[in-house]
Amino acid sequence: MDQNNFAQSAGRESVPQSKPGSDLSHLAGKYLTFFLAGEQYGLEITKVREILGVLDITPVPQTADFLLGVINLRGKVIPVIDLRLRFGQEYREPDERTCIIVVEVTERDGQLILMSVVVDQVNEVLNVGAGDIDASPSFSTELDTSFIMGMAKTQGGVRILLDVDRIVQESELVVG
Amino acid sequence: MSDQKEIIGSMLDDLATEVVVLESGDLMTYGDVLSRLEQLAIICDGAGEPLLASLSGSLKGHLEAMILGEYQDQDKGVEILNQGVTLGQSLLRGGADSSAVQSFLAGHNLQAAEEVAAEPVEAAGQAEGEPPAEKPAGEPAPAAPPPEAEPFTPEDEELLAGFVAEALEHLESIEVNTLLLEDNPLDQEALNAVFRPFHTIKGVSGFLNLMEINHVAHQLENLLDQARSGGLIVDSVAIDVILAGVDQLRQMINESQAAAAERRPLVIFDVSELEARIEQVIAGASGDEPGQGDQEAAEEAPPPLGEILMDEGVPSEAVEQALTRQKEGSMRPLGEILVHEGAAKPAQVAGALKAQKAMSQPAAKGPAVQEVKIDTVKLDNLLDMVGELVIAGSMVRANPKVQAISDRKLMADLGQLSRITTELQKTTMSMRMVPIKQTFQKMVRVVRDTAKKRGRKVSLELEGEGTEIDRNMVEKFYDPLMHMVRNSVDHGIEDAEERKAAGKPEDGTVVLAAYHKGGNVCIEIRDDGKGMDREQIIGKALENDLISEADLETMGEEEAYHLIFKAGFSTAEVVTEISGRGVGMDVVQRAIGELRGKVEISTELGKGTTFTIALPLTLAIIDGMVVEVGDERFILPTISVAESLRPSKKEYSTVQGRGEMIMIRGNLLPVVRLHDIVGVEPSERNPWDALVVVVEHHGQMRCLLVDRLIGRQEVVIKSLGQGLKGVKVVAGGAIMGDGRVGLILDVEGVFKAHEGRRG
Repeated sequence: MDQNNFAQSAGRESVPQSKPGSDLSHLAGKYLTFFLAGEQYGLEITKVREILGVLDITPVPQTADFLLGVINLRGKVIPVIDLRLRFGQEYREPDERTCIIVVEVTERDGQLILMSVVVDQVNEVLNVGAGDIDASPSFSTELDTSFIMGMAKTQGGVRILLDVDRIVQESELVVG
Repeated sequence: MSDQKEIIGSMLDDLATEVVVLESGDLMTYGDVLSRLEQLAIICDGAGEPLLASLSGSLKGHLEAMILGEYQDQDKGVEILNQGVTLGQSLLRGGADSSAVQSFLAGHNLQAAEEVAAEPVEAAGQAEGEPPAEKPAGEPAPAAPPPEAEPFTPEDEELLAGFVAEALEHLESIEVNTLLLEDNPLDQEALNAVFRPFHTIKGVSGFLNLMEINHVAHQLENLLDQARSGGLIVDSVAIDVILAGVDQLRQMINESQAAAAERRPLVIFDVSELEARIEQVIAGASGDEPGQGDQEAAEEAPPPLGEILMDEGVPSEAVEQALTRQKEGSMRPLGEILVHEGAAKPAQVAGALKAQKAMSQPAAKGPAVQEVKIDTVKLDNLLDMVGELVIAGSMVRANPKVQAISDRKLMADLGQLSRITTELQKTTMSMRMVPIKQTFQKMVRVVRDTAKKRGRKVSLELEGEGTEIDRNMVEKFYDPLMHMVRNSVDHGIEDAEERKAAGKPEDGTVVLAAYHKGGNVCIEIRDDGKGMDREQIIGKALENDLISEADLETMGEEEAYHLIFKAGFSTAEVVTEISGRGVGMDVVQRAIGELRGKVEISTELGKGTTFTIALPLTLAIIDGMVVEVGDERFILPTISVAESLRPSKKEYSTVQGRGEMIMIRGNLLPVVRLHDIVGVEPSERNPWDALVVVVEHHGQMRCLLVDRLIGRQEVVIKSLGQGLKGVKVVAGGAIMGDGRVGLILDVEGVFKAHEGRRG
């Protein structure tokens, strides 16, 4: 277990990807699951700071489409990423179920920062056992699976476990 | 790392000043420069700046050749040295790269220096990707201890860190008090204030087994102990030695920290010369009588009451008469006689007595203020929370349901609540402020050193030291201020003969003044030197292709002086010709721009020059104009807003159907459609229906097209975070009154984005 912890903190390159049979037991733990375009995803609960309803978002010029803008989180300004747009899906007008999940992520330079993502609906906190996790299958090259840590098979169906650090690190927020 | 960079930077700056004024053939100064170059090479090597280390090594070799007379043309040698140091400066600030160094070295045939600087050059190779196997990264160069020296690992790192921080603070206070001592060598208070911190440094360094530091501090303590017991007068030689000791200690203390952090052996500094100097001062003093000092002290005694009264307008004959009476035997005090005779009013005498008392008490100190050190992150969090409290409070009050309640008690309570929150906000803001006094006092030393090097006498006067300024700003403001003060002494003040010929007092004066003006802190650097020659500056700028002849026609009076801030204006020749204020003014301009400040120049040929730097009160707050475009609000820094107006249709014109212009008081200004740049759908597209805000940046004026002007507001600047740093159009965010985020526009970014669109 110690070794696994080490692997996790040492950097993401050691996270196994699409390699059937590799050890994914370190991914076991609690996940916040949510809906996004009909699919179910999970975020490590340790990364989640809080869940907000839809707030007024201030758009920021010269940024990527999926960056909806910035919000005021009790005096701090933090960016909001729309996960649908990030994953190349269609934008959906927010409704009363739409949520903003505030996450604490590690930047490329090792700094901890606050970010937030918009999802369709928050579901539940789920305990995922080591045995329930599969590596993400390899799809065609067009489908980017690098944000996926693994797939959790649960009673409610398959949940895609997201690597939120990677989403933030590999998103080019600024354009032009 | 950045600390080390700063040290290297300041060493380079010192070196640059010294080299600039270096006379060819002045062997004393050669030696000084040589030892500086050597130290620089060591420190650069330790700091992982192999290129700089190599460069300073080569320069050192070059200088050695000059000293040994192997170099025929000494003038040219100095010139090469000068260029080398300038190159080093730009290297450190990212303005040059390895190829520039290579071509410089090759161009001046400096490879001959290689054997002298063998190690550093090797280090340069390392940077290019050929790591010499046996050379660990942090190994110090020439003056390194023998190979068996063990890495410096203090037993208690926390203790060391505490010592370093404290000792550096001590050294700062020593510096200030030493300079006080220079003005008044018998001031016991100042003597003690210099003695005590040396004693502390000696004690703690001994405990931490930093024997070198301990030794130097001990010697200096001895010197001061002599002075305290009256066996030694602290003359300017002694002051020089003490200050040199302070510099040396600072270097050693910084080194001990660096070495501990990198777990490498301590670099041993050669302090024998310094120690010899200290010994000399102590030895030279033992025989002297402190007679001359007494006389000086007598002069310092407060003026007699009669004199003060005469200044106040009491007729001098009356005072003299009263004095004679007093001498003739009247036992009554002078004041009483004068009042009795009706020559002075009792209030006048009382005032004069008070004044006399104040003069006899040197700078009476107020009760000591107790201080607590707080993590700035905590302070920022507090500030955030208080800001939110203010917003939450106003949202409650603005709630229609609350407003519908007509209860006097509720209204009174809400009023009380908002008063408290406002007060709370003010207090938290003020926690970030510190008086500018400390920064100013550091300049005393700068002036002294620079003046000494130039062989001039320059006195520095300080005004408004109590003016408060954001503490984050103080740090960033230090370097540009130092540069400007130095420049004033170096290039502003003339030599004594020149001054005499111009009918001015031989000693030059530089005044540093700070005051508040219209929401800004203004800092003035005023000299009574020769002023700036507009024609000469323009000539220089033309020569260096900074401007074209065509530019001259449109150039205003002050604009010409601002040319000195252009990069590339400061060439070596400019400095040696002493025609302008050269060294690195572009750096000054940039640093002040980063602090959202402005520099103004007013100068009169032959009379002197005044630089006025206007800085915002704090970096945390910006005085902004809130404008609306479509549904979005944006904040423009008020400092760059010139005016706002709604143009008439006939003032608007286009060029080739695209380039839009508006004629404002005879000037054609380009139109920037803000909605295009921020990607918002505006409610008005025609300039004559919308509003135009005239914005100025670095002398460029543009018209920003916005829908509406909402008003002027002070907002707290929030960073948008690392990820959004690349958004050049936006300088930050601010929480608006309704709790939403408003974006603060970066005027330069907006102008650039506009140019990008056009091109």
